[in-house]
Amino acid sequence: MNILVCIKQVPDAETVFGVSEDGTRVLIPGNAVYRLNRFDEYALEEALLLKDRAGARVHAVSIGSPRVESALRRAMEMGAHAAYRLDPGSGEEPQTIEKARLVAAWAAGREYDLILTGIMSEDSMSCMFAPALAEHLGVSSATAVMVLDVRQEEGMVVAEREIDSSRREVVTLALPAVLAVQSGINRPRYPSLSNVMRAKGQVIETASAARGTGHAAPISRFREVSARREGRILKGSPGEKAAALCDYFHEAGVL
Amino acid sequence: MKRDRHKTILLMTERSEGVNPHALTMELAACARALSPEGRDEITIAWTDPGAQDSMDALSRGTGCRVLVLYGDRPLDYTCEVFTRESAALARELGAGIVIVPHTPRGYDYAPRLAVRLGACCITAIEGVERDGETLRLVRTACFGKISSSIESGDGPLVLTVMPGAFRTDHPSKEAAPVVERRSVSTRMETTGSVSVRSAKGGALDFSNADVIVSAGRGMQKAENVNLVRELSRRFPRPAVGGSRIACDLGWLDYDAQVGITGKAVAPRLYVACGISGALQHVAAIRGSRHIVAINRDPSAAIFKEADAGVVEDAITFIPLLLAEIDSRKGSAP
Ligand SMILES: Cc1cc2nc3c(=O)[nH]c(=O)nc-3n(C[C@H](O)[C@H](O)[C@H](O)COP(=O)(O)OP(=O)(O)OC[C@H]3O[C@@H](n4cnc5c(N)ncnc54)[C@H](O)[C@@H]3O)c2cc1C
Ligand SMILES: Nc1ncnc2c1ncn2[C@@H]1O[C@H](COP(=O)(O)O)[C@@H](O)[C@H]1O
Repeated sequence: MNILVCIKQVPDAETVFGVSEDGTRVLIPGNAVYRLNRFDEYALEEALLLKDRAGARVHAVSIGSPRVESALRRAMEMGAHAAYRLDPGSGEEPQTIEKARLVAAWAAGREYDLILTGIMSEDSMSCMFAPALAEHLGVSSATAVMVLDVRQEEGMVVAEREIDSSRREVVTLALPAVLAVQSGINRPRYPSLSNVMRAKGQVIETASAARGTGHAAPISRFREVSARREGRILKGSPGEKAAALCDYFHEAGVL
Repeated sequence: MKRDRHKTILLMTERSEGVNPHALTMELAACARALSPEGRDEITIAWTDPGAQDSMDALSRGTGCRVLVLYGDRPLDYTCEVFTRESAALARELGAGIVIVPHTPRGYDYAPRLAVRLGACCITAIEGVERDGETLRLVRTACFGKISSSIESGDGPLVLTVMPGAFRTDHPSKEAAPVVERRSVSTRMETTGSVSVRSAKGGALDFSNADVIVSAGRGMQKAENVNLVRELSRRFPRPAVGGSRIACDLGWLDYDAQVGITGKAVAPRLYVACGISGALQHVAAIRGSRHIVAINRDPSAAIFKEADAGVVEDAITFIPLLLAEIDSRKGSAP
């Protein structure tokens, strides 16, 4: 069985994002820490569990600048056999649907039985990539997958989708399929020392991803999220803040 | 988005256990009206439950929209395949310029496919519509909830998913006679086998009696540190301990303590978020709280936008100070 896992590199949660003066671009400080999108760790782990159980081959792919290679390296350290970077050329990162089209064009003909993604990227938060990829490939898809049971001989996968905290939708889909897995499906592993050593010797292959001339990307204006509440930030030393917070608890009538 | 290009706005509803489909549809209609301020666009609701005629009439009257009741040779239970195909066919037939889908686990499962199939632009998790002269912009958040973007969508067709709860239900300006039509659709499936819904183990923990909920996020760094959150909760009357989805995924807390759109919605007198970033999926479920306090070491964390009071500190060193302060005021030794 051949599995492709789509991964994204994102800036860390503690990054202080800015906005350019004209509001057209999000600014990320030069010293920002980048890491693997947390939701993609679950997709990788699910692929690696299938590898451990059934001997699947696991490939990882990411669209982005050379910077994303550290996320691909991490995927190999966790146990992926090979990693590919699709270079979108210079300029802004493509729109999600365009990225899905680029991955589809690259993956078509490579005979993946299963393509896994995270449910959402922590930075764009669009929850859009997996169904769009499946549509471009003309294969079945499911999102928010909490249980995944691949029955390769029967050419199908049974997926349990999260509807809410107390309901799951159980759906049987023909392979190949694209599945966006939800966090909590497994506990992502830490790279073992032997895999870290093995990954050191591996090369990340690069393919250029020719951009289409589809319709123009929508124009966005960015700004800091506006506050919903007073958001009074308590000032002073840590001890003074603790005292001020106690005062607040009294005001709120809970102490 | 040039207004005059749109003739029809299609609202795709869903039949889903546990959600009130009428309430959600009213929100979609409110979003559609915000996108059609002059009321020139025809708004059509596609309804997938063969409801009684008078409830369909009421829906049409309550929203001022045409209702198309879709039915098949079997119930139109959700499948990605059928919903994508049939909504695409309907959108084409109606010449819909905008298709609006709720941002629910069913909605975001097929909306992007629908967009690709229609060659449309797709914008997900919309929280508002802004007007800027002639231009209408769609508002959503990104970057861990820190950045808001307002998006001008161009002239082409558009598929939107709308955050539940984001649009306040309003009422159509004119009372019109209800328009309800019925139409049969195909339920044929080629790549989908069986579909069913089963109940997962629901959490026993009940937050509804809690006056104060203290919650742990990934920022608590490790399982042992969640004890600080437990300790803090015990200083309050009628307390409970909650957590972000990540804190539960990490096994620090049981899943029945998860607060959020896929956990529990809470509305205590006081909610204290410790090491929680403030992602929409978490905060959407705490907004009913009377008071919200956030402790987070990142001054730009989105949770501060949701809080009445905030402390920018390392929670692991700050919470012990806070415990000592509370205890000294209570006159007992820490
Ligand atoms: C379909 C879907 C449904 C979801 N449902 C839910 C849900 O029901 N509930 C939910 O919570 N999430 C849900 N999520 C996940 C959500 O998007 C976020 O990923 C999650 O809420 C983040 O959890 P967190 O804030 O604990 O972790 P992070 O986002 O990693 O944030 C950690 C925070 O801790 C801070 N921090 C780090 N160290 C410290 C320290 N020492 N002291 C103080 N602060 C520190 C950081 O600045 C950061 O702000 C859902 C996601 C999807 C896609
Ligand atoms: N640049 C990218 N390269 C590869 N996969 C991606 C990329 N961006 C998003 N994805 C995948 O799509 C999922 C959902 O992302 P999104 O639709 O942006 O919320 C992520 O969890 C990844 O698995």
